[in-house]
Amino acid sequence: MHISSWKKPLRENKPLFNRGLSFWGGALSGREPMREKLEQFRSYLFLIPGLFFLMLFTYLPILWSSWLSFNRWNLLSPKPKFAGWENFVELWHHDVFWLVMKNKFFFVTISIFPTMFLALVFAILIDERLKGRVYYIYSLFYPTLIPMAAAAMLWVYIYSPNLGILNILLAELGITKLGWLGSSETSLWALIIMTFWKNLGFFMLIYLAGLQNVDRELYEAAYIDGAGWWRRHIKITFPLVGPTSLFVLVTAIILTFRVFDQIHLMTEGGPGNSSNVVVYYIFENGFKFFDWGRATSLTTILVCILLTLTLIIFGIFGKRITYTAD
Amino acid sequence: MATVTFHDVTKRFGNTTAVEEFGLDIQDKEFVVLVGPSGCGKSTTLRMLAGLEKSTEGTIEIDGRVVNNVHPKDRDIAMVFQNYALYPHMTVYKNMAFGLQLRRFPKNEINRRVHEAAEILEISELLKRKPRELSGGQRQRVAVGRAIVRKPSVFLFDEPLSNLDAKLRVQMRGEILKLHQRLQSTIIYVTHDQVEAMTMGSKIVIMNEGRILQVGKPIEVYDHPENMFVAGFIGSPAMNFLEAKLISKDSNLRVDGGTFLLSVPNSKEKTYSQHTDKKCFFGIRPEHIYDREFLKEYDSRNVFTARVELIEPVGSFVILQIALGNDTIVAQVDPHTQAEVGKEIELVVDMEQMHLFSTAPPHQAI
Ligand SMILES: Nc1ncnc2c1ncn2[C@@H]1O[C@H](COP(=O)(O)OP(=O)(O)OP(=O)(O)O)[C@@H](O)[C@H]1O
Ligand SMILES: [Mg+2]
Repeated sequence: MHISSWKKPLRENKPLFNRGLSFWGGALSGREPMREKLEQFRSYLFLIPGLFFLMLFTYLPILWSSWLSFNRWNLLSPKPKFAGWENFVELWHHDVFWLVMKNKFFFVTISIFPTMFLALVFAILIDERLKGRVYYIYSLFYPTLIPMAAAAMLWVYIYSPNLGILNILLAELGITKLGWLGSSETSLWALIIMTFWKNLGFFMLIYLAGLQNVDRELYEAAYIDGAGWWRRHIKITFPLVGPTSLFVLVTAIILTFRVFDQIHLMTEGGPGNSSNVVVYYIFENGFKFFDWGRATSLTTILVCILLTLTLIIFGIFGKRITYTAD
Repeated sequence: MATVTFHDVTKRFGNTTAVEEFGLDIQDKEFVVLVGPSGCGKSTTLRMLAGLEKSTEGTIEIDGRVVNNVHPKDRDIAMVFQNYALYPHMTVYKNMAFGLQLRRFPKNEINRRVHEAAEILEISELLKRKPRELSGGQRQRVAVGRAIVRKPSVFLFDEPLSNLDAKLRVQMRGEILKLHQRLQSTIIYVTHDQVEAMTMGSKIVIMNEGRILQVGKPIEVYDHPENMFVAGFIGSPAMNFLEAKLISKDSNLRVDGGTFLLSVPNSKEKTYSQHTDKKCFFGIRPEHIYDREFLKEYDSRNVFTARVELIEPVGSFVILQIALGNDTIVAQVDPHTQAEVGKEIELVVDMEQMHLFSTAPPHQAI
């Protein structure tokens, strides 16, 4: 009798004092928490299919290859055998490993900031245009659309020492022809330029979307305040596309670290490893030298580097960025 | 110290004419309000003055200097935007200092001016905050602050209060007026709210479809609207318009609307007599129609009876909607009126306040 006369007012009050009272009401009736748990359970249920595939094709392979990287596993010992740090120690003493690492970091640091900067500048220029926008967007985005294999072939022709348009142009200008892909001095540069061309449009498009969040009135206010074109964008656009830049930075680092196709198709890491980089080196170890243990330890190193970089970047910039929406 | 002059300024965007032959003289220290319905070209006019748009034709002068080709930063103007346009990543201080820094003011001068402006606007405690940490009213103040640190000779406001709630709007209205007295500079203020225009402007400019319809002091425009648009736009509730005819009866000029017959006062007979027997629009404001019960003296010729359709008590007065033939008119009467919906009521019209407009567009006042 007491309980039923208690419950009633509580029930009636519920919509008004939703949180607190439903808790008590729940404790009394013993039904509400169950329901909430069921809700939570159901939302997890929806994640399961996605998580399953992520598990199967991402997390498990990462764990598996991390494990393998501590094993000796090559043509001479075709069964994985635990070997501790052996693979890593070997790599440490291997010159090519350091060359490949140096090449990769050079590749990333040289290409990322110009790519980001120019992508943003192009995005701004296109954003300010009223006419012919679509035309400009497509012409910049086109390289991203075509398959890497086709792009690589195209650039092989462009870089061709005697018939390539680049050398013909250089000759016209009276500058000595370059070896491009065939010379160990220029091969990495040639790949950097080609990758820059391939990715620019992609990042430009992301920036273009980011720019839509910047209020036009801000530019007008700055214009009246007396800020010229550069100042306007350095003081207003650059800080305000911060969230986009963060995304572009992380994506660009990962994309650039992963560069493989064009190297495989254009230089095969040569000449003399001058354009060899991590992912291609992994491929070489795994599928040319059949040293899978070493390939997996390289993979582990790469994953660690990318994870660390991403964490550092988010740690440094994640909280400092101004999000325009309030 | 600045006068502003527009000489027949026209602005076209492709085929649409946003502003047409806009001519206006603005005196030094004047508070001019541009008012008109949405899309009538108010913002465009202001933006041309600011230098954000180029005029298609005509010239704009600030202090006698033609500024058509002068960069906004050299026009000695400051603008307050409708959505404030505060830089979201800068603190309040930096927002206000930005324009001065670009003009290479010395640091201590910037500091002094920002603090001075912050004090005037009572936002000194907010200087370290970012715009998103401010309320709407505070953002508004910062936006105004950013304009006043520059000490420009002309301030431009584009609907600065439209994002505020009603109460805050009334308060900011007063503050902007006080600011005007204090700064002694020319202000050009855009709004689509006629109440704002009436209460703030020392001169108001009523626009419609890109053209100026009337310029004058608020009370002049209220008392002597030059055409039906202005008459209907200024004043709230809006003026009633009824089709009518001027007739002469018993040696007296009358307004005959079929359902009512009102007599023109002696003071106006002379002007209107030349239009006898002509059709026209008769205009009378709701506040000039009275409930007979509450009048001690009235002209018995100007009483009419009509049925009440709707009663809206506002507090200090009551708004009645009254059926008159096929028309509905609005009257603003004493709050203690005994009017009842569906019943007849006796009303008195103050014909000293009557208006007549021609039936032909643009319906000029007769
Ligand atoms: N950049 C533009 N391109 C094309 N047409 C425009 C442009 N800016 C304004 N217009 C047109 O010019 C006319 C006047 O616009 P304006 O913004 O000056 O109106 P407004 O009086 O400020 O209206 P509101 O009260 O809605 O702000 C409108 O018909 C508008 O569509
Ligand atoms: Mg406007």
